[in-house]
Amino acid sequence: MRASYDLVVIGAGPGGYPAAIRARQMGAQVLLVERDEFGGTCLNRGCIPTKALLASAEMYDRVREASRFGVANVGTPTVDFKKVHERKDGIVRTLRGGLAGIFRSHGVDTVRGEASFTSPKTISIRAADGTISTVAAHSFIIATGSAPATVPGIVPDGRRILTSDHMLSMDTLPPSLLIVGGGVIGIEFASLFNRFGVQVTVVELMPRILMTEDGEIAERMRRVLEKAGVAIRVATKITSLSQSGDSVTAEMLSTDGRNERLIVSHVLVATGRRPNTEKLNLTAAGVLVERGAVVVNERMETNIPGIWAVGDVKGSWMLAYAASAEGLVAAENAFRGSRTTVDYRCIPSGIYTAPEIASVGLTEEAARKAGREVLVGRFPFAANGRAMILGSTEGFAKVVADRFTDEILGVHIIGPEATELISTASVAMGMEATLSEFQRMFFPHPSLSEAMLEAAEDCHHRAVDLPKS
Amino acid sequence: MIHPIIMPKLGETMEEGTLTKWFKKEGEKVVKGEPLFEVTTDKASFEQEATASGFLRGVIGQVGQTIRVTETIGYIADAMDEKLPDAADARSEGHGQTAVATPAPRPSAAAAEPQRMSTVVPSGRVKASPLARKLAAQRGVDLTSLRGSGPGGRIVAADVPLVGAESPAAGRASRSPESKPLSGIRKTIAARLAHSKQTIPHFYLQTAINMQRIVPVREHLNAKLAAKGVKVTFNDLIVKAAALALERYPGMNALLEDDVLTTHYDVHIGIAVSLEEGLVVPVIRHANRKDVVAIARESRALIEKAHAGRLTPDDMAGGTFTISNLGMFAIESFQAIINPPQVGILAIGTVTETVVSVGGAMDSVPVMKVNLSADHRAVDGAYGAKFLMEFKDLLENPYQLFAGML
Repeated sequence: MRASYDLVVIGAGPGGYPAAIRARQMGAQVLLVERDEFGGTCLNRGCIPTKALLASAEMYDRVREASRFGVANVGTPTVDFKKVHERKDGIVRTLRGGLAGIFRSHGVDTVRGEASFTSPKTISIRAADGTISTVAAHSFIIATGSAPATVPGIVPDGRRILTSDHMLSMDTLPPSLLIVGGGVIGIEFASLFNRFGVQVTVVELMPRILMTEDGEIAERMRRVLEKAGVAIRVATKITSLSQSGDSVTAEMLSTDGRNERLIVSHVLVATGRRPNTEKLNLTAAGVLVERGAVVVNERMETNIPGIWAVGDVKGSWMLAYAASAEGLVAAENAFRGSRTTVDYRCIPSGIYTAPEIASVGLTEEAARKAGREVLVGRFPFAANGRAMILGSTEGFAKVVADRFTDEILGVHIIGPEATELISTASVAMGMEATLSEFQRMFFPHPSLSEAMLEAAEDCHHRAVDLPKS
Repeated sequence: MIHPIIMPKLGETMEEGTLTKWFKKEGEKVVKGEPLFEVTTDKASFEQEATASGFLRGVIGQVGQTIRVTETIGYIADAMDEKLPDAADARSEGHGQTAVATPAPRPSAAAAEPQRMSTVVPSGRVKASPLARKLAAQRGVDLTSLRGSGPGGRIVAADVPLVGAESPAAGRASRSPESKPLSGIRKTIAARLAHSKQTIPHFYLQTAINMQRIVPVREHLNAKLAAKGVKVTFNDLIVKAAALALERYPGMNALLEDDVLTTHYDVHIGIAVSLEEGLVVPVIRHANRKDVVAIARESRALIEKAHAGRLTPDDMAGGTFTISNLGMFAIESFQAIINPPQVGILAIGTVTETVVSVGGAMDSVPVMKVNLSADHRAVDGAYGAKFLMEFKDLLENPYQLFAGML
């Protein structure tokens, strides 16, 4: 580590490390500071470990369904969660090791410690053993990410009341689980643990789950989860949580005045995430913070020239791949003096449930609220050959388009491989394709992607694989 | 040599400015000191002059864009084929310069985005997204008239202007005419100018002034004055020259009211400032007795005040002569309407590199065309011509403007 750098990146997650590498590619001397493990939330406590657990749940499902596909003598599968946990950790370790190698090969210096600003041009780094070093730099990119947020009255203790971080470090399955919060994180965990055979209840304060998703899609997910045995309480709040022995008693009150008592073994608090800014001493740098989040302009620069921020610490988007795009933009703006911005219109989002949900662009509600007159087309996977072959016919694809221009405003999918399918829609929307270009594209047969084409055709009631409406 | 053009810091508190105008086009020749672009801050608009001569290239700053001070918005290059810094090649979104200790970071092949700004490809096809094509057709917009902001200059939906259509449903709806009564200031202008043009027998004299000598003089002067934070514009020199010429030909420095001609021996020059609401003419008083630096200071203060809408009636009263300068535009010459009761007005055109014959040899010199409009009731053609020749001589032999200054 040198005494001064061209750029110091604080946080080696999906926002910070691409920024560090890109700046290095442009010839800058770069120091990457990380207080924990390389890879940030995404690799250590988010995207990767949850999807690794999910792969085991899927395998479990498939094996249980094997006889339906004519595979005999499979016996009765059971879940060895310790093994599931180890497999997940193995994948995370391998990817982490890969990252360290990439940093070395690019010549990005790394240091382990907690960074805090001492001026707009200097930080101090406190290592785990308490030693403090000071580093000066021309530019800083803040990429410290976020941590699970809590709500008043519910204090995670890591034993029975857990955050997603705690949840991912458990190597046994809880017998029963109350999930506070029916957003993306809560619903992903609900689907996952339901598939492992855990009794799951979801409590959501808002009138429906997945508030950010298209209403029809969220409604379908609610039905799928309830059919699979997940109890869902919407418009309901937790009034008290009390622990006794090996159980937690939750008192709930719905907005229409119904009281309910639930006794579970564990509670998962999934009430969103908050930016990690408190350790950075941003006042020393003069960086503007609003409601805990660093404020940046569209070029990712804070109010202090030379200090940039990307990813969750800005309090918006909170998606690993959005953070990566922002990181690259910040690095290029900082070192090439460019004025690049991130185009957020076509950023897809995925929810890894069974079946998956994926979407890009405006929901039907948002499009109408924006004053657009919309066309809506839908196509059910039950009418898709490939879905039937795969034995996954739950769900549908939905296309929202502008009535006057045929502009594709949004595509929403609940169904098999939705998170893979959505990329086609992102590309089409990114290129500003209208329904007619989309309808002229070829989709292989049989494939799940045909459902999207048919949904686009259905906007003009022209789907050929649907009965006449 | 490549000279970066930066967003200037025009005041202590200025952090960013909006680029509101380019006076020159990409690839156009630029003469040092000529108006190059206009910056609007939260307070006022400011014309910025070229700090070097050459060709305007690598224009990054787009009109309407708000840019931080000191960021690069384009370049003046000595030659058209001179290599610009990497950033300028890149893309339309623009690039500033953020000082970095590293020796000019060179993007690697992986990091560089080779993107150019050509919306029409050589085959004549216009690069436009399907949605942009559709919107353009619906709104009756010619795609070839648009500049693409998408990757590689592709026209995207956001580039297609809404032609007055309230909603896309309105399709090709054209914008209907709007009627409204003239505002107060426009009414005044209308009455005064109509009266002037209808009642004053204007005559016009035009001449071309060789600016070859004054260009370096101004450069040198400004270099010396830089530390004082003063900058002398061509217009300031023109005001000074006019003031001296008027001192020598006071017949042009007169007011004609009700058949009474009042000749003034002190020169108070009005400078026409165009605002969105209309024209205002703040007055530089005793311009004949002030040196060029004082005129520059006063002129800038008045123009700032005008743009801020803070001119007082006193600031605009008592003028004995007016100068109207459209040099910031590519206007070669024009004729102005006399501002009564004054009897003359000078209309200043842009400085243009012009080929002239000097002793039989061809030379290219910066030339400025000026027009004198005079009231034939007060002065005759020959007198006006003598005044104009004096004015020309002062600018062509600019040491005269500084006599008594040192």
